Amino acid sequence: MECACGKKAVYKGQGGALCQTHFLDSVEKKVERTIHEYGLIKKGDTVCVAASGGKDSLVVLFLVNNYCSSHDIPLFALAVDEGIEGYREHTLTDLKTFCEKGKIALHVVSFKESYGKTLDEIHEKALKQFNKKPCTVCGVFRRTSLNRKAKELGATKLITGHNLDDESQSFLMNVLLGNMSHNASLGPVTGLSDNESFVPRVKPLYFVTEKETRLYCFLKGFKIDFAECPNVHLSFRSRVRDWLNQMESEFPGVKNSVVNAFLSILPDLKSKYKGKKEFKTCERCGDPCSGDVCNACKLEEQLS
Amino acid sequence: MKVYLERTGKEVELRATDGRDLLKQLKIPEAEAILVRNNEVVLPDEALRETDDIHILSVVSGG
Ligand code: SF4
Ligand SMILES: [Zn+2]
Ligand SMILES: [Zn+2]
Repeated sequence: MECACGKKAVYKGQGGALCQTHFLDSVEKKVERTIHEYGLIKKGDTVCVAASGGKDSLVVLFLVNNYCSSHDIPLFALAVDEGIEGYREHTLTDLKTFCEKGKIALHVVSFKESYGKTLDEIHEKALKQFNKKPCTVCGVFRRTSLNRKAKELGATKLITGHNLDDESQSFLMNVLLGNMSHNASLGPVTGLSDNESFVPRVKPLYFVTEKETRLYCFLKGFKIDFAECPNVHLSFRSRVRDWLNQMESEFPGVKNSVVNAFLSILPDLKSKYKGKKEFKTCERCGDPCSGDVCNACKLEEQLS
Repeated sequence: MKVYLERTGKEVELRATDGRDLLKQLKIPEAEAILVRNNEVVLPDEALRETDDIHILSVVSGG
């Protein structure tokens, strides 16, 4: 199969077959278009890229770093070390090497430091005593750690590596679990933009699939040590992901359709659910929350 | 042909006419795999040879 330019194709997507040069180009253009169209990064921003060393984070870090360098916008990378043995140390090593090569400042914040325990240490108690899956704890603590550290370091935007796969999964998960209101906080720009305690989170890879980021890494020669979190199989997300990938293989384009369907109702979701929630301030940490104490502080207390 | 699976770290010996056939036998959805031969990408409809060494890169993220 050949690209329109006559060279051998390395990728076949909805836009047809693409050679190496035109594939790389298509991903870069898509990301730049997303940044502009949704105003993800602007002059005057200080950009923090949440990075794990996995493929999505390396691609987003590479592309956003290029973008910021050419637009004279300061940037640094921030990683969270959850403390998951046999997994995170691998991806963090890859990330450190990558940042050294690209001369990108890297900060690391760990659960151990912030909460006194690693995820491995919390895991059992959370599951047995509180019936909380590791991913639930991990997600809440990671989000909070990233936000606090990014803010402390002066960031005005928090860039994440969320891709089209992640977004289509999240939307469907919320539908399947009956959490429709949660969908109001998905989209290319999330976080409570009107609440200054939260650094707005933006997703430049919003329209890029997981397959595209993996291929991008391969063609660019980014070293990624394939590692899978030992807890991933316990998650509802992995079930939805497997199903979506089966569907996508049989009916190419379904993931795109899911995200486009979501985007078409996002304004309605926002107006329906926005303002319903009133924000108070967490008694313990001062973060915005819906009750008196935020989720992270509640979890921290339960698990201490 | 020898097939190396990145996700599991396993190596298997198989016969397959093309990439699509190979993935079907391994029950891996096309959306989750990238096939590589001699450090070059092979698309699912490309023919494979008995003497090929194929690497299957995993597309899903680790968590
Ligand atoms: S799979 Fe779950 S536990 Fe592992 S890193 Fe992801 S969210 Fe955390
Ligand atoms: Zn081309
Ligand atoms: Zn709190």
